[in-house]
Formats: sequence, structure tokens, C-alpha cells
Amino acid sequence: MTEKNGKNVIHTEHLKKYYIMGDIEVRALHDISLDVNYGEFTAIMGPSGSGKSTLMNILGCLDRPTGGLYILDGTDVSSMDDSKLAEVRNKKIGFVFQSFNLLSRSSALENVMMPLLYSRNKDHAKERAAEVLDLVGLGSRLGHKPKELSGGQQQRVAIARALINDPEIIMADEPTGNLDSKSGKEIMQILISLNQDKGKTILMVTHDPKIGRQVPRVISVFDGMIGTEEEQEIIKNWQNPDFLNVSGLKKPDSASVSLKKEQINPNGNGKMKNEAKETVSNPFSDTFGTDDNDLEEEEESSAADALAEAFGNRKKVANEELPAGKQFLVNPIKGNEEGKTA
Amino acid sequence: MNISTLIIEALRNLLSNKVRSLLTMLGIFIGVGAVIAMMSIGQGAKNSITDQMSSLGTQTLYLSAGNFTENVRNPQDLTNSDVEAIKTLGIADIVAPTVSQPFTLSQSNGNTVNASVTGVIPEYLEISNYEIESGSYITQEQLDENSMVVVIGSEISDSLFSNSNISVVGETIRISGQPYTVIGVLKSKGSSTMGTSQDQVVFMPLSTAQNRLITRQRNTVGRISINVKDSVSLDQAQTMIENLMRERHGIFEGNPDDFTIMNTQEILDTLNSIMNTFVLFLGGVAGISLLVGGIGIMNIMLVTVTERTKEIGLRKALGAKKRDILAQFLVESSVLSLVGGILGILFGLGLAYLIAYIATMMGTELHASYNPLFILGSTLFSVAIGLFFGIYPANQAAKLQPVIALRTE
Repeated sequence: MTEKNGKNVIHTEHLKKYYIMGDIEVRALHDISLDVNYGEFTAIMGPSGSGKSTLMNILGCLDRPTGGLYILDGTDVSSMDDSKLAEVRNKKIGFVFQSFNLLSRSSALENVMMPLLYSRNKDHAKERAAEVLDLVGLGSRLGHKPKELSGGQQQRVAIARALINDPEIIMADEPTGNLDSKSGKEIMQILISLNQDKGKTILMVTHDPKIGRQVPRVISVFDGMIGTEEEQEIIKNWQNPDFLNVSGLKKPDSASVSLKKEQINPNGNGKMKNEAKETVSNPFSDTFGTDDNDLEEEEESSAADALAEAFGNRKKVANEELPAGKQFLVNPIKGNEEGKTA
Repeated sequence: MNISTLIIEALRNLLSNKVRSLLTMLGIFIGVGAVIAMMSIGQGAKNSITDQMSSLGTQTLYLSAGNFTENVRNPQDLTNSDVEAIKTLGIADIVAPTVSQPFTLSQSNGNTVNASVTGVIPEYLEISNYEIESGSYITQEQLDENSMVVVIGSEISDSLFSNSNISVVGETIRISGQPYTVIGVLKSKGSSTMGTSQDQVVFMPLSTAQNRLITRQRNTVGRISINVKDSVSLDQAQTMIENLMRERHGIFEGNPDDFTIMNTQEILDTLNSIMNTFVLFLGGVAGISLLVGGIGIMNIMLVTVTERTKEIGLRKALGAKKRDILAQFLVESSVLSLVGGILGILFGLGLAYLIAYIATMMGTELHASYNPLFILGSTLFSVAIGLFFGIYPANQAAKLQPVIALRTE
């Protein structure tokens, strides 16, 4: 892990993004202030056209805000020039896209090595790439071209590519959107394990309310703004009552509702006011295996299930060990640091 | 990104679209090929011309009466005594005066031909690079005796004596009504550089020409060829002869010469520069096709950039800077045109040698010739074309905003 600069990996103040379309000014983002802590697992949700992609692009340094302040890992990136931003993207952010975005001409290994082409640190490129591919369970498929891999495997290659420069944040734009539920679950498990075992901050855009319900924190975006209290209710109501039947998981609706409510933070304050969630059950003990076998009995396993397993379980454990408000900071280093600053 | 990675990447991209890359390359291939072929042929032609010129002997001066560049009143003719005076300067191996005039030649079978009849001395054969096919050349005795003999070129022989079975030597031809005995036939030399036939010549002893045939003024000579000794520089010899002739012709200081000295070296230099211009002109014309090829590259690179917009977006998202993208596409277009250029060079040389071969087969002696610097230049030039025509598309690619590029399908 790289050195942490300041308390929040992402800190924005009054972030704005306006477009001029003809004579009309489009306010894609308006006054977004939010904080994301190191090691948080956060989802950005919102209806189509709400500006969540714009927000993700700005947070991912792919785009610059029209106004406001954005501090990423202690560095003000809101007014950086293109090549500085490119460096920041290269070093601090790993992208995972919905459509994988692998180069079809190149092997898995070469795809993973691509960010190193633009990095200063090119030492042991092959070894490092093989290592991260091994980490995502593709150690035996280094030479395969993307078309020789399944969708889930391709997304794993993409995750490995995101990891090669050991970034602070992994930004995933609907990472399971193009996958069947089984591969989706595997991918989600990898992301969760990166979050919990490696302490990576995960920021994810999703449409899937099932996922949204299970993620520790949701940032909801409506009309270019962080959702108001009232709008959080809408997010709540998104929850599909059928979900429980479909998933086969016994997860009380009330628990997830309250979870959501607390974690959506309209004030841009990333601090979590968490309450104990008692009634989360988890049918799996082996939470983060990427092996296909442990999921095979499950008829409808989905990305959301993986999250439920992970965070449901962890929440329980965490509540015993950590004071309230720190339950998601499962990384020990993280915990210590948070402890000091608190 | 280092250059080898870039080149490997570029080759892979080009190979992933083989037909398109090949067709694009074809433009450069044909362009470079045409330039190389044209310039090799031009260079070859230039070489053969200068070779012919220097075979005349670069140590030769030609002195003739009259001034070709300035108006001189009553220019004096060159005479036998001028020849003797030049000989006494001691700077020349051979001083060969000639006199010539066109005549109609006829033969008893009724054949006639128009040709320039030249009176020469025996040494002239040496200067003029003719060889005897049959019979013999003019001898000193014949010169002394004003003998009525001629040596004729192969073309004259063919025109006058249609029946080639009989030996031409010993036959009689009539020039201006006078009978002359053919004592020799010259070997064919082919066309001269300037396109005139060198086989349509008739030589007779100088004395015969002066006294019997061209009798305007008995001691007059038309032109004096002076083969300067190797130990004397051509310029030095030219100055000496100039001074001698001015003195002999009584020309006052400041007045123009009433004679002209042609220096083969000067002619060679002039011819060289003309030929260089010619070669460059040929190359320039062929270069237009190279330009078209370059535009083809630009076109395809623009298509490629549009096609790979998403890839560009991805690369940018993963940390590629503007200059990385720029370099990637520039290297790609350069590699494309370099490969096309190298193949084009080989093709052009092949074509040049083929043309030369065909031309030689058809009777015009021509050799293709190339200059290694030329090849290097063409190679660099094709890279430069790739770079130049790649700049715009590569810049288009580099300018793309990552967000927009990533969104493109």
C-alpha cells in the first residue's frame, strides 16, 4: 500500500460540472461534496442521467470539474493539466470497466502490462503482471487472448490490469454489468477481497439495487447532486421485495434498509454512523474464494450475494472488535491510523 | 515507452489488418519504386553519356574558326600554318586538323546518300575512337599523294552497297562527280549521345579534301583537334593556344577572339549538370506518386484513429499521455511507410534493371545505376513521409478526451 496522505482518499468540495449544449447550460454535477475514507467499499448509485457517470469520471481523473475542489490521496487534482492527470490515473487509480476494455490483439499478460508502458516503474514488468494475474486466479492463462477467455475471466484480467501499479483506489464502472450472475459473483468476491485483504479503496458505479443494498456505503446521485433525505427513500424503495425469494438468502429487509439509510450521506461527510446489524446470516464460510466450485450448489448466486456474504459477515465480526463507526475499516493498519486521527 | 516496444506494437497493429496495411503500403511502394527506377535509369543514362564524352579524351581541345558567342568582323580561317604553329608549342601529342563539308555520294548502281565528307590525317583515327571493320585506314603516303581514297562508315556502306555479299573495299564511289576508291569500312559505333549517327561518316586524306574536293581555300582547315599531353593541364594548354592564335591572327588586346576553343572537360561539366537536372526532374515527377502514397497513409491513419478511439480512451485512462499516443501513431505510420519504402526500393531497382535490359536488347545501350546514398535517402524519405502524413492523424488521436474516447463504441 502506498503512503496515505491525509484522512480521506477522496475529498471533494462543491464539485461542479457544467456543459454548454447549444444555448443551454447543462448542470451535469452541481455542488458535490463528499469524502471517501481509505479502504472504504462504496457504490455510486442513481438513475440514468443522474450524473453518476460524470461524477465517476471526475473522481477517476478522466475529466476535470468545472468548479470545486477535488483532493485525491492528498493531492489537489482539480486543476492539473492533462499529462499530470494521466500520471495520477496511472499511479493511483485502477479502472475496471463494464465492457472489460481489453485489447483483443494482446494476450492477458500483455493487457495487464499495459499500464506499465506509461509508468516510470517498469521493473520486472512480466513478473509483476504474472503475479497479479495469479492473484485473480488466472495464473495459468497468461498467454490467452481475450477472445479465448470467458467474460468473467476477461474481467479478472481487467482487474489484474487495474492492480498492476498498486493503486490506492479501484474504480469500477458496473463491473458485473456484462456478466452472468455466477461470474458477477466471482468478480465481486475479488473486489471484496482486494478491499478487505489488501485494503484497497473500491468505488463502484452500479445500477443493480441488489448490489446497492449490500454495499457498505452508497453515494446516491440525483440530478447531479447527492441525494437528499427524501431521495434516499427512493433508493430504499428500489429494493425489490422479490429479492429475498430470488436470492435464497435470508437477509432481513429491515437490516439492509437501515444500512442504506445510514450510509448515504448527503452532507458529504464520509464518516459512517453505523449501528449494529444483528440479523445477517451467511450461508458460506469460505467468503472470498475465486474457485468456481464453492458456488456451484447455489442456483442463483449473484454479485450481491458476494457482498452480502462479505459485509454481512464482517459487520458482525467488526462490531465485536471495533468501536462504532469503524466497522468497515477492516484493514489493521487502516484501523490504527483511524484510531490515531479520531 | 521505448522505441522497440512502440515498433513491436505498431507491427502488431499493422498485421492485425493485413489487407489494409498492404494496400496502404502499395501507395508508398509504387511511389518509392517509381522514384528509384526513374533516378536509376536517369543516373545510368547520365553515366553512359559522360562515359562517351570522356572516351573522346578529356585531354582534348577543339579549335575552330569564328566566335560562337560574340560577333567578330571578318573572322580569319584556320590554316595549315596555324596547325604547324600549334605543333611547335610542344604541348600536344596529336594535332589533327580536319575539314568537312556535306556532299552527295553516289555509286554506279544508282544508290545515292548525303553525308558529311571529312578530310583527316592518319592520327585522327586515334582521337575519334573509330575502328576498322575491313580494309585499312588512311596512310601517310596517301595523305602526301592526295590519293583519291575514302574510308566510309558502316551506314554509308549499307546505303550505297545494297548487295552486302560483295566486298565494299576496292569499290568506287563518286563524290561531286569525282571517283574515290573505298579503302576501308569502319566498325559501327551506334548513335552518339546527341542522337546523331556516328556511322554516317566519310573520311579522306586531308590533302585530298583541301586540294581536290573542298577547294575554297587550299590551306584552310575547319577544325583542329588537339590532344594535349598528360603533363600539361588542359586550362594551361587552352591559354597557350589562345595567346598563340590571337598573336597569329593579329587581334588587338580587348577585342574578342575570332576563333573558339572547346574544352572537353567544360563540355563534360555542362553536360553533367544538365543530366543532373534531368535526373532530378525524373525523380520529381515520380515523387508526385510518392506524395499520393503519403496521402493514402494519412487517410488510413485517420480511419485507424477513428476505429481505435476506444483503445485510445483506454490507454489514456490507464495513464497514457498525449505524447504516448502521438508516438504510438507516428511510429505506426512511419513503420508502414518504411516497410513500403524498402520494398519499393527493391522494386524500383528491379524495374530499372529490367528497363535497361529491355532497352539494351532493343539496341539502345542503357545501364541502370544507383547510388547507395540514394537508397539511404529514399529510406529516410519514406520514413519522413510516414511521419509527415502521420502527424495530423496522430495529433487527432492524442487530442481525444479520455471520457469521450472511452464512451465511443
